[in-house]
Amino acid sequence: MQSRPSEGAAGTERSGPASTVRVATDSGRIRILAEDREEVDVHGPATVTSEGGLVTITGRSEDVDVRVPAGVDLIVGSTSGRVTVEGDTGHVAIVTTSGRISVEAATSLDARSESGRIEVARVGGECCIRSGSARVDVGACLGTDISTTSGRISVGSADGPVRAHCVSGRISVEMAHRHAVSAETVSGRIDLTVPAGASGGELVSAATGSGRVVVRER
Amino acid sequence: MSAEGGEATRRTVLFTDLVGFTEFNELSGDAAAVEVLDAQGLLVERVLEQAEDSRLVKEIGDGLLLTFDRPAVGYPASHALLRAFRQAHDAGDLPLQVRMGLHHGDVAERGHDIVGRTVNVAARVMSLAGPGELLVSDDVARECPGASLRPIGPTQLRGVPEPVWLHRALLTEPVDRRASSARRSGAAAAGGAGRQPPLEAGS
Repeated sequence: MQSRPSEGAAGTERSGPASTVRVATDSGRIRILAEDREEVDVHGPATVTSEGGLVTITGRSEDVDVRVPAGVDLIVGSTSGRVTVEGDTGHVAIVTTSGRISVEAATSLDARSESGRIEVARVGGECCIRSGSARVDVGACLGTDISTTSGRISVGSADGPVRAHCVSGRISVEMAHRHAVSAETVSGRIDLTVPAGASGGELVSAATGSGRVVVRER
Repeated sequence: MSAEGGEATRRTVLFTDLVGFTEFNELSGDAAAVEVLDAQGLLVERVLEQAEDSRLVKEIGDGLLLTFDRPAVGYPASHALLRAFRQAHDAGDLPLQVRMGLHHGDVAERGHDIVGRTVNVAARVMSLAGPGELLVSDDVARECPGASLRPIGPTQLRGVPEPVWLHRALLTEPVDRRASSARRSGAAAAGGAGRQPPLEAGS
């Protein structure tokens, strides 16, 4: 077991190998880069502790840049700071109040924000996204479960079961293959694109209180 | 048991919210909204009958504030309530889905009401939940070792120095078995006639 607190330093702190990295700030921006490396590097004023395979980074209102080994699991929280994750990561969990969330690639994802926009390029497994008033854009994913209050939902290519729920906003989902898709909005348009022959039967469920529902077959 | 005049007492606090209730009310009218609230009231009453030392503190529009004696009572009761809401929604008896947040800590009682940081945190936990979802804080999770929970990360609260760690309560039904209904149009989601298949990827 190892514990290395480093408080308030604005330079770069290096921690040992990690399987999970936890990062929390108040308003400071968090930028995490996953790359081919062994250690965790932290640049910015933050407290860094390491115990076993867990590295914990706690900042306040200043920006924090973190370089982590590719494939590492991340647990990140911020109030208003933007969170950006670049490179290939393992399971990623992010919670912000108003900070925007951007994730390039994760094996699985749980991302939540009350008002920050959420953008995700690729998720290889479970994908759960919750947003209050901001839009959600997902590029490619397997099964996914997305809900917003007033932000629109867009899924570029889903290769697994999809559930999309929105109170007032447009839902747009493109299904890569035949999987169940359920889209529900109280007021807003729904656009679903599915493989040929998949629009009937038991796979597609779409309901809106006051918008159009369009289901297209490719 | 209960403290009077603002004295602190330990309680497990649950906030609930019917997702999209305001929009539903606008689209479907006041009578339909009252029906939904009545249906919610019956569900809650049935669940609270089974949970010792539980109390409906107040209704906040379509939301509810409830307390339980401790997490070991509050978590299973909240989970049961979530399942009851889900069953009602799937059966077409309740057109809206519920979201919930559960936290445990000191509260100050003010008459029939409760106030304090624990109440604020519970509300914040609820605000990060999606439809058909129950989130709990670490303070609840620690007291419920047998609960099926998945950690989802820390949330920072303004004015609170330490982050509050959150967990998602898992429901155990497999995804594909629940994706069985085809429905492609109409006012089902908002109009009360809708039966939404509860497809929940990853639950």
